[in-house]
Amino acid sequence: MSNVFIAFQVNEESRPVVDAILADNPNATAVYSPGLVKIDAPNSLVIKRESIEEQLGQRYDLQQMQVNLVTLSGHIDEDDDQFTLSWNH
Amino acid sequence: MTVDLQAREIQPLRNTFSHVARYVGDDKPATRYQEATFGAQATSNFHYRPTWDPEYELFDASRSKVVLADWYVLKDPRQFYYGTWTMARARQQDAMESSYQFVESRDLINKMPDDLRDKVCQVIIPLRHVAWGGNMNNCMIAAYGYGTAFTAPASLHAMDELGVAQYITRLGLALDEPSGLDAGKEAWLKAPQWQALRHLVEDSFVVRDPFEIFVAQNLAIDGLLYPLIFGHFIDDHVALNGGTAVSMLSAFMVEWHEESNRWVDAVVKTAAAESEANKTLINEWTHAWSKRMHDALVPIAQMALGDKGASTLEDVFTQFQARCKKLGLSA
Amino acid sequence: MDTTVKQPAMNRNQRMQALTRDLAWQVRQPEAVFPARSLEGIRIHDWSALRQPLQPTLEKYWKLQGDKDKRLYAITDAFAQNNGQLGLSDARYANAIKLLLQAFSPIEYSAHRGYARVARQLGLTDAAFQSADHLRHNQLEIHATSLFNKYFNGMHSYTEWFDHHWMLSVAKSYADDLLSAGPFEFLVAMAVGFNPIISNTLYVSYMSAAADNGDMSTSSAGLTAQSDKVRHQAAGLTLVEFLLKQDPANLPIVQAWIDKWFWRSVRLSSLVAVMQDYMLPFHSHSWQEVWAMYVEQPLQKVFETWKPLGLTLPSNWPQACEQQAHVSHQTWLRLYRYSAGLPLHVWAPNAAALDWLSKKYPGTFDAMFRPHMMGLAHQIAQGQRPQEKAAPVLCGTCQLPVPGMEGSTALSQAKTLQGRCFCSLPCQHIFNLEPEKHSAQAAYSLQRHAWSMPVTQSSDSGLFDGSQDQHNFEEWNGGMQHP
Repeated sequence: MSNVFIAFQVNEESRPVVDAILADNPNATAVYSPGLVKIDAPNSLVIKRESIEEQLGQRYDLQQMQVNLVTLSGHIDEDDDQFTLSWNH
Repeated sequence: MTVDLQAREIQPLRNTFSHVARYVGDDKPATRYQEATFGAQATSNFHYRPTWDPEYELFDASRSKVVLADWYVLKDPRQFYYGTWTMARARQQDAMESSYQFVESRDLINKMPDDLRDKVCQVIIPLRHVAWGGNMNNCMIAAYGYGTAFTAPASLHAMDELGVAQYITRLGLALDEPSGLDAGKEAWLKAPQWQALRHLVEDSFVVRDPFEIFVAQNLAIDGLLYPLIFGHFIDDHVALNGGTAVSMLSAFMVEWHEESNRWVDAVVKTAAAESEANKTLINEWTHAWSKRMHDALVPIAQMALGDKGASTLEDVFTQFQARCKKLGLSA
Repeated sequence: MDTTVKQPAMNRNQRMQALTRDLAWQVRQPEAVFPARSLEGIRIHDWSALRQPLQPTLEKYWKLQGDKDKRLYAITDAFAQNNGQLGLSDARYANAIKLLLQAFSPIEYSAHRGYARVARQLGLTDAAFQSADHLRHNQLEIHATSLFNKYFNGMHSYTEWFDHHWMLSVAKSYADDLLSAGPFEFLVAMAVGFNPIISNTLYVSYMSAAADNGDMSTSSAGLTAQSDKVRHQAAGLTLVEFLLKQDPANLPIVQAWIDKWFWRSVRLSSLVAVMQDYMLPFHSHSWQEVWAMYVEQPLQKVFETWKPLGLTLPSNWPQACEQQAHVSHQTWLRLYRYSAGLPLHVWAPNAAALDWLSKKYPGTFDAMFRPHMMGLAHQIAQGQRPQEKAAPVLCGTCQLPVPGMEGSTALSQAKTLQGRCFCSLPCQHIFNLEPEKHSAQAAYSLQRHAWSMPVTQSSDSGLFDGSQDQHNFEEWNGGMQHP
C-alpha cells in the first residue's frame, strides 16, 4: 500500500478544501508545518466540489484549488465535479 | 506621558542589483519592471551549443540582421512584468465574463438577424487559427530573440494571442454549434478566400530572424487585421446592424490591440532609429509583409463588408502607412 | 439558421481540445515549420492522445494567476514596509537566499526560454503556458529577494556570478544543457529531473522552513511558484507516458534521458541539501528526510506505474539514494574550504546544530563529519581563516568539484586528461553518450583557471563571524545577538 498526497498553503482559502478532503476521505491524515499542510491517504484521495461548497457556503470552481496547491503525488483524474488522486491507473 | 515613536534608522547598503544599477543608477530603488528585466538573460560563457542549431550560441544576437549596441534599449512602455500583466488580464477577463453574462441572460445572440450571425461566423471563426499563428510566432521571438527586454514581453504577447484564439473560439461556440468550429477550420484549409492569408501565416512560420517575425506578425499582420475586422467589421458594421452582442464579446481584442501597439511601436521605432542599416531592413520587411497581408485581406474584406470591403481596406492600409511613418519608417 | 436539432454541448475534454489542439492545422511544409520534431528520433503518431491534466483555459489562467500575484505582492510589499529582513531568525539565514538567487533563479529563466522554444519547435501550446510560468518564477524570486539585496551582501551581482563563478558552474552547466537539448529531451528533463528533484525540495520543504526562519517574502514566493509547478509536474509525467505509448522506438531514448537528467538533478540538488541542513538557523526536516518524503517515495511509486510501459528506475538510483546521507555535509565542508573566494558566508555549526545533525543522521554524522565540523570551530578559535581562492578541478559533466582533485598537481593532471575528470561513474557515462558536446564544456572549464576570479568584494566572502552582514544585522536589531 502506498500513499498519495496533496499539500496546500495554509490560509483562509484552502481551509474549506482541506476540511472537505478530510471529511470525504476518512483514512486521510493532515500534517502541518509552517505555512503548509500535507494530506496523505492510502492509495487514493478524492476532492469533491460539492463538499467544498458545503464547507464554504458558496459556489466553488475546482480549478480555484490550484491557487494554494503546493505539491501532490499520484495519478490525476479530474472533471468539473471531482478531482481524484490515485495509484490505481 | 509621551510615547517616543521614533522609527529605527536603517540604511540600505545599495538600492538594487549591480546589473540593474548599470542601467538605472543606484541613487534610488529600481522598479520591479527594471529589476525583472535588466541583465536577467545570461550573456557569456555558455557551456554548450544548441544541439538543434549549433551554428549559434544558446542566446545569440546574431540570429537577427538587426544590430543593436544593446538589446536592452527595446524597453516596453507598458513596463509589464509577469505580475502586472496577469493582474491586468485578470481584470479584462472579469469584464469579458460580465459581458458574456449580460449577452447570455438577455439572449442577445438569438436576437441577431440570422444572416448577420452567419456572416460573423464566416468571417471570425477562421481567425482563431491566425491568432494561434500569432502565438507560435511570438513564442519564436521569446525563444530565439536576444535580451529579456525584447523576449519577455513577446512571451506574454504569445499568451495574449492564444487568449484571442480562445476568445474567438468561445465566441464561435456562442454563435453556433460546435460544428461551426469545424466548418471554420474547413474554410481555413480549403475555401479560396482564406488561402492567401493561410499561406502568408505559414510562410511567416519559416522566417528565422526574430526581429523580422516581430515586424511581420506584430506590426504587419495584426496591424492590418485588427483595424479591418475588429474595428470596421465588428465595431462598425456588425454592431450597427443588430450585432452589438458580438461587439461586446470582442471587446478584449480591440483593447488589447490598442494597448500592445504601444509596445510594438516603441520596439520598431527604437530599433529603426539606431542606424540607417536597421531602418532599411525594417522598412523592407514592413513593405513586403504589409503588402502581402493587404493582398491576402482583399477577399476577406469583400466577404465581410461586400461592396464597401475594398475601400475600407484601402483606408486601413493608408492609416497603417501613416502609423509606420510616425515610427520613422518610409511609406 | 435552423436550430431545431441542437447538438449535445461539448464535454470538458472536447472543449479543451477546441481551445488548444484544434487551433493548429496541418501546414503545407511541416518539415520546414517544425524541423526539430524529428531531431531526436522520437516518433509521434497522434498528438491528440496527449492529456493535459490541470490545464486551464487562458481565461481561467489569468484569473488564477492574477489572484496569486495580487496576494503575493501584497505580502512582499508588507514585508518590505515592515523591515521584514530584521525579523529573520539570524543573518546567517541570508546565505540560503544568496544561493537561491545565484543558482536557481537563472535556471528558472533558462526554463522560461527553453519552454518557449519547445512550444515553437513542437507547436505545443501547453509549453507556452509553462514558459510564462517560469518567467513568473524567475521574477517572483528577484522581487522577493530584492529587499534582502539592499541589506545583505552576496546578492548584488548574482547574474555575473552565475555566468562566471566556478561554484555556480553546476547550475549554469545544468541550465545550458537544458537549453542545448532538443525539445523532447527538454520536456523529459523537466519532468523527471528538475520538477521532482529540485522543485519539490527547494520550493516545498525549504520554503516552508524559510517561513519558520522569518522569511515570509521568499517563502510565499516559493510556495506560490509551486502552484504552477504542480501543473507542470502533472503535465510532465503525462508526457512521458504519452511518449512511451506512441511508439516502442521511443523507449530506449526516453530511458537514457531519464537516467541522465535524474542524475544531473541529483548532483544539482546538493546545493538544496546544504541550504536545508546548514543554512536554516531554525531547523526543519533534514535533507535526508526531505529526499525520502518528496523525492524517493513519490518517484518510486511513479516508476512502479511506468513498469508496464517498459521504463525502469534510473540505473544510478541506488547510488543517488545512498549519497543523501552525506551530500549536505560534504558540500558544507567544501563551501567552507573555498569561502575566501565565494559570494557567500560560512561558519562553524554551533553545538545545537551539531546535535541536531547527529540526531537526524544517526551514526553517519558522528562517525564521518562531526570531527571535521568541530575542527572548523577550532580553526576559527585559533584565528585561522580559509584562504583558498583557486578553483578546484570540476567534473567534466556536472561541474561539481571532483573529490580529491584539488591543488596545482590535480590541475596539471586534469589538463593532461583534457578535463575528462569525473566525480562519479554516472557522470562519466553521461559524458560518453555525447562526448563532443561535453568535451567542449570540459575544455572550457579548464580555461577558467586561467581567468581572474569574478569580482567578489571581500564583504561578500569568507567567514560569517566578523562579516558586514553579521555586524549590520546586530546593529539593526539594537545590538542584540542571536544564538
